Amino acid sequence: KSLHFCFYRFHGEGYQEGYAEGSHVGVVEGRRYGSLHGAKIGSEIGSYLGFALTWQCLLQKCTDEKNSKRIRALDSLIGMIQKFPYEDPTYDKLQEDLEKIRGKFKQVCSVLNIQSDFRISTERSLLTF
Amino acid sequence: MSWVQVAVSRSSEDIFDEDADEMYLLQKEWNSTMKKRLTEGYRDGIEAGKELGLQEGFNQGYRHGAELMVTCGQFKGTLNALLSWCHSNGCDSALSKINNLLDVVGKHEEDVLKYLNSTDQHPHLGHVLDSVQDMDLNDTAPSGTVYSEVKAGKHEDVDSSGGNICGNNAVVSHAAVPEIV
Repeated sequence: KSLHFCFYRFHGEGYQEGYAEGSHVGVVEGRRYGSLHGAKIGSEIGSYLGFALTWQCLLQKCTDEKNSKRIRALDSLIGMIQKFPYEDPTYDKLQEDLEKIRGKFKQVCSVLNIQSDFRISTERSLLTF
Repeated sequence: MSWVQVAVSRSSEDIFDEDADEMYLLQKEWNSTMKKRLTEGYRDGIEAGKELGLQEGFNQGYRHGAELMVTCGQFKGTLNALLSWCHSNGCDSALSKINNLLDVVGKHEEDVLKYLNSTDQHPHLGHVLDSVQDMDLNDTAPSGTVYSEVKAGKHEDVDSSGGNICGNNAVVSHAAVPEIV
């Protein structure tokens, strides 16, 4: 019985020490990956929002039919982004909503007659016409 | 019968020695088994800890990175909108200014990503204390030395002198990185 006890006790002591060591290493590594990932998504979502809000502002005074369609599209995109918990990595629909927003952004660009292939990543953004 | 006596006495000596040898071997085996158990436990512990740590760290880092970059992204998006507006409406004069700003923002984002990707951690006082304790230094260091002050937790931040106390201790090499203020 005491043999059994020792068997688990030694394993347990080693385990505790290893666990502390491992979780420290894991947290550091995890933070690094996570922050890069979060940064990219934050930047992307932010750029869609800034883009849409600015255009909404620019078209404020234009009330003709063509522009009302554009304004509707912009409102829709802004609404989607504002509802999206971009900073929550545990959000279960994160990828799904992100794809929807990307699609909506492409639609907004086409309605505005802008090619949406300007890069959202950290590369220098250039709009091409 | 004397030969019997001799035989018996000799065999009991042998038996006694065999027992001693056996005890020694058993002890050795026991030590090695327990040592193996410690190592196995340590390895299992590291794996389990790392797995959990990775997930926790990822979630923390993700939130941090996203919040850090979202404003930058918004600025970028605003500039892009202005750029496309200028293109559509022929305001060429502002184009170069806007492009310059975009370049600046882009460079800033790259810098932020580089910083996030670096493996330097901000050294916490706790790290230094742990490592100093690990070194098992004599507790009778004279007061007024950096070591005793660190131990008393008087230092609020770790500067390069933190690296000096710890000397060549590999465990604490990260603590030699001065705090990024």
